[in-house]
Amino acid sequence: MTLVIPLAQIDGSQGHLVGGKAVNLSRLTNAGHAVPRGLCITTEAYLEFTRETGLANRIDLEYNRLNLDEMRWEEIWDMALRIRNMFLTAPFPNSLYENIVQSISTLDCSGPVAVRSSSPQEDSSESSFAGLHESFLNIQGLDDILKHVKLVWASLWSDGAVLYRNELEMSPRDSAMAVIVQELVEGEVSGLVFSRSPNSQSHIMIEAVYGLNEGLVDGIIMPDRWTIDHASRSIISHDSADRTHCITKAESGTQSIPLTAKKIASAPLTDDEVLRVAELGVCLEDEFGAPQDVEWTVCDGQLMVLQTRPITTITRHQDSTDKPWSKTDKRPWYLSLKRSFDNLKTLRDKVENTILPGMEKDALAMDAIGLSGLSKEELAKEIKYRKERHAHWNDVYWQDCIPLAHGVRLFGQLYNDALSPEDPYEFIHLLGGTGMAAVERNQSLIVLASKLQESPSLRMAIEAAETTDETDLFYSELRTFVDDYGDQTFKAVRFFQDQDSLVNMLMEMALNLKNQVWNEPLKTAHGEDEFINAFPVAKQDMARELLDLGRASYRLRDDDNIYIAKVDAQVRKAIGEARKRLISEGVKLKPTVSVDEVVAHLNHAVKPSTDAPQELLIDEPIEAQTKSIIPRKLNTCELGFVLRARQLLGQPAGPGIATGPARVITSSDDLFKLKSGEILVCDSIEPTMTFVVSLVGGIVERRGGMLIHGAIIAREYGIPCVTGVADVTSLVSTGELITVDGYLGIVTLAEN
Amino acid sequence: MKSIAKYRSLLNEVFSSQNFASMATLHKDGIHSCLVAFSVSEDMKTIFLCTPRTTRKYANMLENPTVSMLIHNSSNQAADLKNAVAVTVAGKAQEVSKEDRQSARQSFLKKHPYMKDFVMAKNTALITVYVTRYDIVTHFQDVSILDIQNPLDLTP
Repeated sequence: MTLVIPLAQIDGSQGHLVGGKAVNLSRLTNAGHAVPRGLCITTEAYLEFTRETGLANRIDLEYNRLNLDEMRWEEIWDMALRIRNMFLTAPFPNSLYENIVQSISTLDCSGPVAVRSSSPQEDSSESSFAGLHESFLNIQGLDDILKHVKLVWASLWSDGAVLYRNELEMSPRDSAMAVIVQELVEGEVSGLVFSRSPNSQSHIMIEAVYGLNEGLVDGIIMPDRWTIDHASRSIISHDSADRTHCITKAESGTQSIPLTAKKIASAPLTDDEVLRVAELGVCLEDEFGAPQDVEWTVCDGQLMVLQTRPITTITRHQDSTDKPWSKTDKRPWYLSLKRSFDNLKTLRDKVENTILPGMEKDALAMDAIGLSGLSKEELAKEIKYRKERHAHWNDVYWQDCIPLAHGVRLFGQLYNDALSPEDPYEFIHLLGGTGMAAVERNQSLIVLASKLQESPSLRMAIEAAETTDETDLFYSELRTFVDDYGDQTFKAVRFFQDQDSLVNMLMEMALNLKNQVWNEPLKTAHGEDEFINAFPVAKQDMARELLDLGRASYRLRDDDNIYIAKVDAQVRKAIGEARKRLISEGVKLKPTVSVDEVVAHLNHAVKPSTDAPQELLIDEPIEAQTKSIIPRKLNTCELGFVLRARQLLGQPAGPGIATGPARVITSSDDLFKLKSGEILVCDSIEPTMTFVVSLVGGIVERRGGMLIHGAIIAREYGIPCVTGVADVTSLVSTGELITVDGYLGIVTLAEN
Repeated sequence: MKSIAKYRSLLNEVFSSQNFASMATLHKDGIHSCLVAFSVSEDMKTIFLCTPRTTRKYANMLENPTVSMLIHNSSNQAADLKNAVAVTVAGKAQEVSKEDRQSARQSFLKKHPYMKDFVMAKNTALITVYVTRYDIVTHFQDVSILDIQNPLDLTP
């Protein structure tokens, strides 16, 4: 078994053992190019590690638990996180450890190293895993090197890599990963050269940044870009970047630091250096017989090659739409949302200080308009305006709020890297209890329910529809609640539209306050000190910042839905006013009609018949909320067989076990009928409907993921939760006794 | 989406690939398990097996026709947790009557031609298990039930 090979000793036939990147580096070394020294830990070492530790079977089980084609991006990310943690927590088998350690010692490299992926499948001209498999710079010390070798191995199972491999119909079971451990060269200037520009075959393209290449490859640092004529080697153009920062070596890992004024003012390469890099690109194109994409760095004046690969001919499928989030399969877009720490900080500031206040300001301004005083034409104009504003905020939501959710994932990954916990979701304990808007609203409901619980006379008066001083006070407080949160409930129904249902629900909650069976949100986070202390002192501020970002991302991920619902409510209010007027004019209404049709009616573009009332359908104005959640009917009886589910498989999203009658939610009516202790079964929980959560015994969702709203709120309240249960609203009926096992991610239907 | 057609096809796949099943029978003091060769009728509502009339399972079936069978395609590997399908059959067993014996033998011998001597032996009883339900387990923990509508009532 060949576990480690020095880069210089690799021959071209060993691609399956070392991957294309290592083969190329060896070839460059042997051809006399300046290449940092290093070795390659082979795919056989990967296979030995996964076999000896039992990971191969555990990964197999995890990977095949659910059907990949039916998994949402969040579920794929969850799976990748679990597998990553398996690698982190699995110790090196002794023989493998000794073999690798001995080889690294012979590298005679006491300084920092780069630990890079080199999968046999990556970087062919037909596929590119660039950015999907991980590489790490500035790793020091044997233990840290070995830990990062495991992380590179784990990146074979990253969400992006899994999805891309699936797209290419490559079998993950046949995949293995080699790892290059290479002396770190801290160049003053680094970059890429494409020996044939992606824009024109007759041009060479060079990108360069100050410092390390990492910022350029990850898209964090904008590079200066040159276009050179391939035949004459003359510079055609230079696009200067807005130079502000560069990536350099930190105490461990890398850091982004501001550039000096001198560097800001001058391009990272002179014209002579540009031509030297261009020459390198052409030289490697000749050497490898195909156009090359070369990573290079300049260290002490020496131009060094970090890696070279053929320019990928394959292009990822591009949709014509300019809104990638509107595609049916959003997974590739979601997987492209990964953001750097700095980028997420900027995004957080934007969401917290501009976007959410903007949504609220818009909603308040709309609320201040007296709709009843508007003429029909003015009302039509107002509806159109509100619809446009909602569409605007909807785009902002997808463009800025959704990517911010990656802050939680970035934090989770860092937490796991630092502490290698047995439970890969342990980090969530540090994110909860941060005052989510939905939780605050739910607490206000409990306060109202307490008033009912404490006063039998109030309950009796309300049940008898009597008016007393006590009921006046209660309804006044209820109105305040509705003013504050009235626009937050499920789908088309808003509290302000259905006060009776709200009161009925409060009565149910009051009953349970008495019986003390309602759920309270978790109040305390723990383990913060352990997390911070896991970092060297110099990095503890960064850890605190990332924890703060993770918490903000966790909270805002929920709150953004609450804020956009405020704008949504204003659209509904205006349509409600239109509906009232049209009814008064004798137009017969049905529950669904397009907003444009309502506007046309108000503008007299559609004239109601004088003979018979015209049917008018008022639809839900919000596209995202018009999706039918009416369950598909299960074909339960055929050829003398009757099919029923006994146990359903999902993902464990909230620990605990609960048994109770199911309440399958397909409409707002179902939601308001919910009784305490029932198991909430639904397609997906929106933050606007979580006000019932304090009543439920358990949660089962069709939509999967550990960080979706249902899972987040379930953990906040300590409720057993299983997500990602396919077709659950079809397979379970209201009233059926079910058990939610939030440890194993299974839902069991009682036999009788 | 779960469907009867999908599960019938899965059952067919498992029954075609497997020759033997574990079978449990009841007697007044407990349960008895054994391995049996089996075949399944085309409509998948009855299962055929053979046993000498001197066996414990035969005596048990006479005493109590309730039986359970386990038919699975696992290969004794860890990968079975995701790949294997296990079918638990619940049913009522009855010795095949003289008039039905020919067709039952044909069904059984079509699958197990090498057992002809055993099947034709005088002391061998041909048994029909009237299936009442199948519990089908896939992906280790996903369990669905196919009930047979109006199963034959063999209550003594």
